[in-house]
Amino acid sequence: MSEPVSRREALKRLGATGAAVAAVSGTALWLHGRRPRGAAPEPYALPSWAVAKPASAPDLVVARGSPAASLVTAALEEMGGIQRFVQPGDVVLIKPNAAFDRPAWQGSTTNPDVLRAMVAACMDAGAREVLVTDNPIHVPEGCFRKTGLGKAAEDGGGSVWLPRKADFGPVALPDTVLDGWEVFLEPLKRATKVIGIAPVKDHNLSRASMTLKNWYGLLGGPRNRLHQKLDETIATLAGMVKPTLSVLDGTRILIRNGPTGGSPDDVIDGNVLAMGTDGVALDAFGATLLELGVADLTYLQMAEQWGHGASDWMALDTREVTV
Amino acid sequence: MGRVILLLLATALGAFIVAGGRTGPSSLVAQEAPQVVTPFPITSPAGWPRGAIEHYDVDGLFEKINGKADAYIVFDVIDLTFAGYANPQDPSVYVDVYIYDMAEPLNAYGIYRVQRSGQEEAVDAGAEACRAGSAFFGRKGSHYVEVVGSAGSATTEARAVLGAVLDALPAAKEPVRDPAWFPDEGRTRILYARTNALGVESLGDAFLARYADGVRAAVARFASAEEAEAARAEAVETYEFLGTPAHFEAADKLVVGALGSKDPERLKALVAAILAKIKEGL
Repeated sequence: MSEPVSRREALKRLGATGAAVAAVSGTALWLHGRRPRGAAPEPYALPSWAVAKPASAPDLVVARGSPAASLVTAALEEMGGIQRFVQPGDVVLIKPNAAFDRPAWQGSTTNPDVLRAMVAACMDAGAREVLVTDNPIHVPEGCFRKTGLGKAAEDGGGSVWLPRKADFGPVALPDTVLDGWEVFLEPLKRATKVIGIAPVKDHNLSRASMTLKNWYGLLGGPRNRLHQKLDETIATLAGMVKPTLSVLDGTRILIRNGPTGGSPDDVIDGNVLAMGTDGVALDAFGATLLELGVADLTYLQMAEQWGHGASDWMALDTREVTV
Repeated sequence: MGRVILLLLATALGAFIVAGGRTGPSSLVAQEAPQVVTPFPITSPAGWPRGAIEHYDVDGLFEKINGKADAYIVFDVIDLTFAGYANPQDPSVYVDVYIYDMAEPLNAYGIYRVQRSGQEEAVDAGAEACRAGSAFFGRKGSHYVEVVGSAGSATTEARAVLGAVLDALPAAKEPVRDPAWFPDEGRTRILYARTNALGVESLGDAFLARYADGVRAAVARFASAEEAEAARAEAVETYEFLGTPAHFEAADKLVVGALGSKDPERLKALVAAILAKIKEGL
């Protein structure tokens, strides 16, 4: 049982407690939401990861047949070999589409067999490490697990980089809708080479989701707000990311109810894969797989008008291989 | 006593700082909805344990289904409730369940129908349901349900979960059925559109039919005969401007239209046939 406390002592203790509350609350408020050194980070200008193109090398390769892994091998060989893109010691960042926590058969994400083959090719070329990443809005761990992309990355010798808040920072893209937008920067800063692998999909808003839309997964922030300017955003992404290589994965094609699909009836076997460095050209080719034309894709027209690529893929040095 | 208070404050401070600095993607995970009574069984019929129940209102729907959200918003979706069941012996084999509350049975009918290819196999699950591969789809009352099996080995369980979920969902007082207005011959699909039927903005609350020869027909419903006549006039004007053959007629509070054929007589005959069937039913 405690001793009785005098009025003076009670007031003293109350005062001490009040002071402690004020001190702790003040400290908490000071610490909460505090930015290091009090300054907003400077917007970061992304470099280009493109490599020089040998005169004899094609601009775009279309590989047809199956299995999916063989398409990767055949297309890379026709492009001039993986060594054209990846040198020993490189840190390669591969960006598949892992946007949904759904099984691979739905065609809403990159085919794991394609990813596995590309990771392995980069490792065979002597890459120091191959990082596989995406920023799905919803539970990245679940997305990489259910799509099979996490296992495929590891099977190929790479590792998955799951997004953390600290990985994001503003990007410098003056006079665009994305200037100052939060981007998944840390893996991009670490990478010496960047490869995108995007499925061919119907999309409810932009009509198609292919190599250029795939970079949308590098964005952070409240990106659903960008859906009001989706075409403009995708066209801007075409200028934001200058990859070493882009892969259009048409091994499975989600022809309706995109971008998620849901039924096997929404997916057809495309048995095709295209590679190149011009995302506009690749998407223009991919549009044909969805029975669309450049005129149907506003973002593609905008990207071309802004000088981010050429939609007339047939006018380029395009080569076909069959597996 | 003072020490206890200070200890509590220090604990609160720590929790406050941790919460304030919580930055991982886990902060994006939808919270389990404790107040929501769900139709999800605690385990699947084979005993696969249920994962956390996730709940997304219309503003948060994007977090789960991204750009597909708009397809549901068109049909006035209220929310999505999700849960998964994983095989404890092999977690790569799982069943995911998406239950969309579409507010009205007609909306559930609309979203169910628009996402079907017509190639699915019908499933007897006590409500309109079908299957494609290891994915199952159903609607009951104002709910639309998708049950997705990860692979062929999850198919049996996915079917069982669909049945359990549909059994638990409330039925509509008056279930929505296909209208008998559209002639059967050559008809491939019946759909429902909240707005913009046959590409005309004012043609809403409409049942649509598609035919194998590419012809599309619609029956749009209005609150008054005047509104129906105004919508018919807009539809006619639209297609005259486009130079595309189409035929529209108003009948009381309805507008019946057809397009998709170069033969005006084919369109006119179809509209007449639909109107005759409507009159038969009155």
